[in-house]
Amino acid sequence: MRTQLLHTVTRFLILGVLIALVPAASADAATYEVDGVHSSALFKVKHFGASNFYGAFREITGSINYDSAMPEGMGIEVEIAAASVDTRYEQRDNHVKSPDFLNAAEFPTIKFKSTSVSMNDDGTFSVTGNLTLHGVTKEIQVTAEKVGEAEHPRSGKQLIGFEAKFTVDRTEFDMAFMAGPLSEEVEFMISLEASPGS
Amino acid sequence: MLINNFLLPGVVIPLVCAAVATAVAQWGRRGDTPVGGSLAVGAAFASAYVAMTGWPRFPPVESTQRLFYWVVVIGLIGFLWSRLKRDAPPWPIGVSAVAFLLWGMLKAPIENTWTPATAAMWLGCLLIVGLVLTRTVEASLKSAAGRPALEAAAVRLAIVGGSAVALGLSGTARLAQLMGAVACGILVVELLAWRLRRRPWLAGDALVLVTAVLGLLLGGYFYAELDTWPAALLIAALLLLGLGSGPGPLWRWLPLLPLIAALALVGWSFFHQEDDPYDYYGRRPAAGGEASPLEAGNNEGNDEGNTPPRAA
Repeated sequence: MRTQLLHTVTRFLILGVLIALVPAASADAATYEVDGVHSSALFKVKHFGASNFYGAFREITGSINYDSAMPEGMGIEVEIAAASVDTRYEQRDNHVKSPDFLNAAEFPTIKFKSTSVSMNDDGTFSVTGNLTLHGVTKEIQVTAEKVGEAEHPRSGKQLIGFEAKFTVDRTEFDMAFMAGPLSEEVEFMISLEASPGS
Repeated sequence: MLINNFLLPGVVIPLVCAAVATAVAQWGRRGDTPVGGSLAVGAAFASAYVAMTGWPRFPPVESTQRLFYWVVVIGLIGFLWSRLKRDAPPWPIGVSAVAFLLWGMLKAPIENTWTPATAAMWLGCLLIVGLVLTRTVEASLKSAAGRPALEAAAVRLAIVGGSAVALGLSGTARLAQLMGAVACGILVVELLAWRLRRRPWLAGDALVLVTAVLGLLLGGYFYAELDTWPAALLIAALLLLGLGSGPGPLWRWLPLLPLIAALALVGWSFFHQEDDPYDYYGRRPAAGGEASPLEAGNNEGNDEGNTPPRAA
């Protein structure tokens, strides 16, 4: 009986050591809701090969699952309202929203959902995911970097920021109108600020 | 840019393809047989689409992609039916064609926006409109032989061409060019009929005309900025085509009245848009009657206040 007791105690001790060796989950591990007010989504196209034109989208939502202890486990979902395109000129906004380009009435949302994340040597992330644009879904790879973390001085909420740039060929998303005068390559620059959801 | 991006895909290529398709349709036909336009209109529409944006994805994901394939199918059905029967397809084909067109063009609001009741109301009303349109256009095409050919052709071309202008002024060059391509197809058929001294159309050609024109107007209304009244007036112009066989010249030209009204509304809306609050292009003089920053820059250094010559 003493032997059995000794065996049981030993097993519990080993189990306790093993549990202690497992890294504790970071206090950062959480689902962060994207703050649309402090996030930005810009795009750049070349105009007649002479200059770069920048536009933006005003409505951005989404979520980021992030654990600083295990950043490769990160998950990102972002949705942008296509009708929120802003080129600072209403007539041009309406044209971009029309069937000539985004066809925002038929495809109201631009979505990106990550499927895998890996960490690069320089600390940036290679995020692979599905981009749905103009009704077409394609897998793309994006290099993202964590901009920083901070505690909001008023709310005390933990803020986290990520930024990414990627280029797509709009003709692959069936937006070939005026290809040539307007470049087929469109570069997107996304900056997200997120805080833990309520 | 004007030639490569607009005239070539929107006018030249549809004209050439419609002419080739009409020549194919005429192969082996003699005597007083009508020219027949299903293949020409379908070819004009399809070639313009491919020239503008490449071959559409299959299966299609966008309404205009579905319209492309449906116009091609209906064009072929109309052509084959006309060769076999020389009459309009039976009503089940017409109902199916219009119903499928409506589903193809309105899939997005049906799935994402409308309640079942709203969808039923829209689809029910538009199905009736589409079927009535098919009948009125058929009547117009059948009676074409009994009226001066140029007059009838002019009215048809004016309605479709005017619809293209309305779409262009409603913020979508792409749909406008496609409508213009349909007008090119009609033009080729009318010219060939005049040249060969034959009737231009068969009754069965109405289906492809209604499919293309109604489909593009639906796209302009639901996805671009074609307003309700211009859209309704353009549909009314097509509906009035069927009255063209009535007595007196008034009936023949009546369809142009709603067309002119539609273009007036769209034109007024286009040229009276609200000024850009940021005066992006520097068109508006600053407050107090002073010159805008662009004009002030031109007047700099001119002490006598004379207006310098405008830059070329």
